[in-house]
Amino acid sequence: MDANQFLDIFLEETNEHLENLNNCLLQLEKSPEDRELLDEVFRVSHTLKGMAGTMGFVRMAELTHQMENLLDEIRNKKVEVDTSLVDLLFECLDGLQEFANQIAETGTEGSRDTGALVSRLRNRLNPENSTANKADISSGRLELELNDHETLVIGNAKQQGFNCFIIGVTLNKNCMLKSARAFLVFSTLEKKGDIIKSVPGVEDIEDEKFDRTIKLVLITQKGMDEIRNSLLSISEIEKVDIQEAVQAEDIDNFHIENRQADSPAGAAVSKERGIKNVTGKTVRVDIDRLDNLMNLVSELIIIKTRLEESKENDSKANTGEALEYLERIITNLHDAVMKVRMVSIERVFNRFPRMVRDLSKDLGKNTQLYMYGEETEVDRTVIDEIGDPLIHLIRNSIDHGIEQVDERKGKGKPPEGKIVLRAFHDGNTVVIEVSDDGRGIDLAKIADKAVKSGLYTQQQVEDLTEDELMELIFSPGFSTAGKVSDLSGRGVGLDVVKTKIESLGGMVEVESVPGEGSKFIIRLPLTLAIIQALLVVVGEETYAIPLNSIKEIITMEPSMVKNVQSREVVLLRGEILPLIRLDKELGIESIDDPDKEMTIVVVKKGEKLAGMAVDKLLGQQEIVIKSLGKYLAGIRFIAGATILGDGKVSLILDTNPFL
Amino acid sequence: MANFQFVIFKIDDREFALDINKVNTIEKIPSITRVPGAPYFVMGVINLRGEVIPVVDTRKRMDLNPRPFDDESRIIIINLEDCVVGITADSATEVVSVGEELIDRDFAITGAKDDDFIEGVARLDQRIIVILDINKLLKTA
Repeated sequence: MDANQFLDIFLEETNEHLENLNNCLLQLEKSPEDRELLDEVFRVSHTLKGMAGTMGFVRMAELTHQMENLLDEIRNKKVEVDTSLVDLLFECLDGLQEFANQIAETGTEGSRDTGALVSRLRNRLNPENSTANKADISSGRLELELNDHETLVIGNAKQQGFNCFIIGVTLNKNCMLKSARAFLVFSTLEKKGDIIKSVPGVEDIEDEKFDRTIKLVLITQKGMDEIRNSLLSISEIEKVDIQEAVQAEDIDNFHIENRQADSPAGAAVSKERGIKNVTGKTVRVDIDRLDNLMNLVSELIIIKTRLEESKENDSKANTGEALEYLERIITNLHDAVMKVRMVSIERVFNRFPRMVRDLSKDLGKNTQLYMYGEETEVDRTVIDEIGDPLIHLIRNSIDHGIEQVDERKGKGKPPEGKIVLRAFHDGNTVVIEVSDDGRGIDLAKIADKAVKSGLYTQQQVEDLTEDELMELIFSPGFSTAGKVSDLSGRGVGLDVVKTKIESLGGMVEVESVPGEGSKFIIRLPLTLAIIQALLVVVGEETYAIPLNSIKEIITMEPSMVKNVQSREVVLLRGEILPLIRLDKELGIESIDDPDKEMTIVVVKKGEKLAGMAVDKLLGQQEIVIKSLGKYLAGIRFIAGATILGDGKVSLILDTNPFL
Repeated sequence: MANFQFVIFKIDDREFALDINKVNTIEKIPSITRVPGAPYFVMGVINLRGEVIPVVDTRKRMDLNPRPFDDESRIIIINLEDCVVGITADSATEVVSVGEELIDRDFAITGAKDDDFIEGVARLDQRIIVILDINKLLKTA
C-alpha cells in the first residue's frame, strides 16, 4: 500500500497524541493513583501503536507495544507508578517524538535503535525473568516471512496463552471464484481468531492475483483440529495444512538481522526523497469556521449577480445598496479568513510543563509552572516564531530567578518556586507574561556589570534611571549570572529575545522587585499579515506608516524648526524631537510650499521619538503586508509593500532606522 | 541537434533573446512604484495580480539612453531560482526556435557596453540576436 498520502495525517495525529501523552504523564507523576489518567495514557499508546503499525513503522509500533504492555501491568496493579517509571515513560515519549521528527523529515522512521529502551521496558515488566519473553518464530515447513512486528505480536500472543498457527489453504484446481472462496476462508478464520498476516495480501486476493494457495498466520484460542475442520467444511478446498508457529532464535538476534536487511532499503528511500521535508505546513480548522467562509463566498456570488443586474437596469440606488452590502460581506470575509489562520497559543505552551519539570530536576530546584489563557488565539505566523523567545525567558526564570530550596526557606518563601505563564488579548495585541517569584533582578549588580564590561563609566551609570538600568539586561553580551551554566548566563539570551520580538513587530518589557521576583511582558501584534497603517503622501508618492509605531500627529509652522548641532529639531511640549524630512531621506522632490504649515508624524521606538515631516495625510487604513521579495531584500527604511485600493503598490516605511 | 526556444525582445533596433523556460509572462506597463534605496537600475515595483514584483530598467542596466514607454513597451516577467523579477523592453514580439548549431557561445563584442550580460549570439537568417545571461543582468551586487 502506498501510505505516503496518509503521511501528513499520520504525523499530525501522532504529534497530537504525543502532546496529549506528555500532558497525561506530567499529571500522572503528580497523581499516580489516578485511574482515568492511566487509562488515557494507555489509550494513547494503543492508538499510536495502531497508527504506526498501519503505516508500517515497525520500530515505532514495537516501542509503543512494549509501553502498552507495561501500562497494562500498571493498570492491573502489578507494577507501581514511581518517578523512575515516569522517567522511563518520558524517555519512550522522547523516542517516539524522535521517530515522528525523523518521519517528518525523510518519510521513513530511520534506523534509530530503540532496542535498549524496549528491553528496559521489558525488564520493568518482568524483572525476575527478563529472558523469558525472548520469543521468536520460524515458519518451518510452511515457509512464510515474518517481519519483526509480526514476530513480536506472535511472541506476545503466545505469552498470553494464545495459539499461533501458520495455515496453508490450497483451493481446488477447478475452483471458479477463487477470491470468493478466499473470502470464505478469511471470514471463517476471523470468527475463530485474528489473522495477522496473509500471503498473498488481501488486495491481491481480491484481484485474484494468486495461484491456489493462501498462507495465513492466525492467533486464536481454539485448537488446531477445530480450525482444520471448519476450513475443510468450505467447499472447493483441496488441502489444509496447519502447523504451530514455533519459537526459534533469540529475538534480539532476529532484530539485528532484520535491521541490517532493512537499512539499505531505508537509506535508498531517504536518498530518493532528498533532504527536503516531506510534509508541508498545515493548519487544522474548525469546520464551523470553514462553513462560515463558504457562506460568505456564496453571498459574494449573490452580490455579484445583483451588481450585474443593476448595471443593466442602471439604477443608482440599487448599486449603492449593493456596494454597501458588498463592503459588509468583505469585512466579514476578512474576519473569517483571519479566524481560520488563528491558532490557540496552547500549541506553544504545551511543551513548557515538561521543560520546566526537566530543568528544575536538573538544577535541583523545586519549580511549579502555572499557565493561564492557553486558549488565547494568535495568528499562525506568530505561533511559529514565539516559541524560542519564551523558552529563553522560562529558562532564565528557572536558572536565575528561582532560588534553591534552602535559600527560599531561609527567606521565608514557600520551598516551591512558582513560574506563571499568562496570555491574554489586549486590544489589537496579544500579551504574554512570564513571571517568577524568585530573587528578582538586582539593579546594583547590573550597574556593576555595566561598568565592568566597559559599557558605561561609573558616572554614567549613576545618572541612569532605574528603567534605563533594567533595559540594560537586553543589551548584547550582558549577563548578571555569576557563572555561565549550561542553560543561560552566556549573555546571548535576552538580547536575542528582544531582537526576535521586535522583528515580529512586538516589544518586551521587564518589571522586577528584588527579592520578590520578576516579570517579562511581551506584546505582539495579533497578526503579522495585516496591520493598521497611516497613509501619507510625500511629493507624488504614497507611503504607509504602521500605526503601532506612530505616537501622534502634530502640525507646526516651519518657523518653529530649530537647528541644534546642524540637525533640525522641533519642540514638542518641551521635549526636543529630531526632525526627519521624508522627502530628503527618500530622495523625493517635495512639491509643497515650504512656508506652509508642516504636518509632522511623531514616530516612536521604545522611548525614543522623532518627527517625520510629510506633505499630506491620506488617513488610516488596514493594509495587507507583502514582501518586496528576495531581489530587493535589505533595503533601508522599507519594511515591505502593500497594494492599495486602486491597484497601485505603496511602500511601508520602517521607521526604526530613523530613530 | 537540440533546439532552444527564445523570447525575443527589442531595445531600440537591437534584438535580445531570453530562454523561454525562464520567462513567466509578458505584461503591458502598469503603474510602477519607485523604491528609494534600491539599486539604480531598479525602476520600482509593480502589482502583478496581487504580488509585488520588482522591475529592472533594462536600458539603465545597459547604460543606454532613456526612452519613454509607449504602447509597444512591455515588462517581461522572469522566474529566477528564488524570486520573480520583471525587466523592461521596448517591445516583445516573437518566440523563435534556434538550433544549437546556430548559437555561438564564445562570442564577445569587445568594447561594447553590454557584453557583460551576453551568454551567446544566435544567427537567424540576416538577424543577429544577443542571448542574455539573465542572472548577470539582474545581479545586484
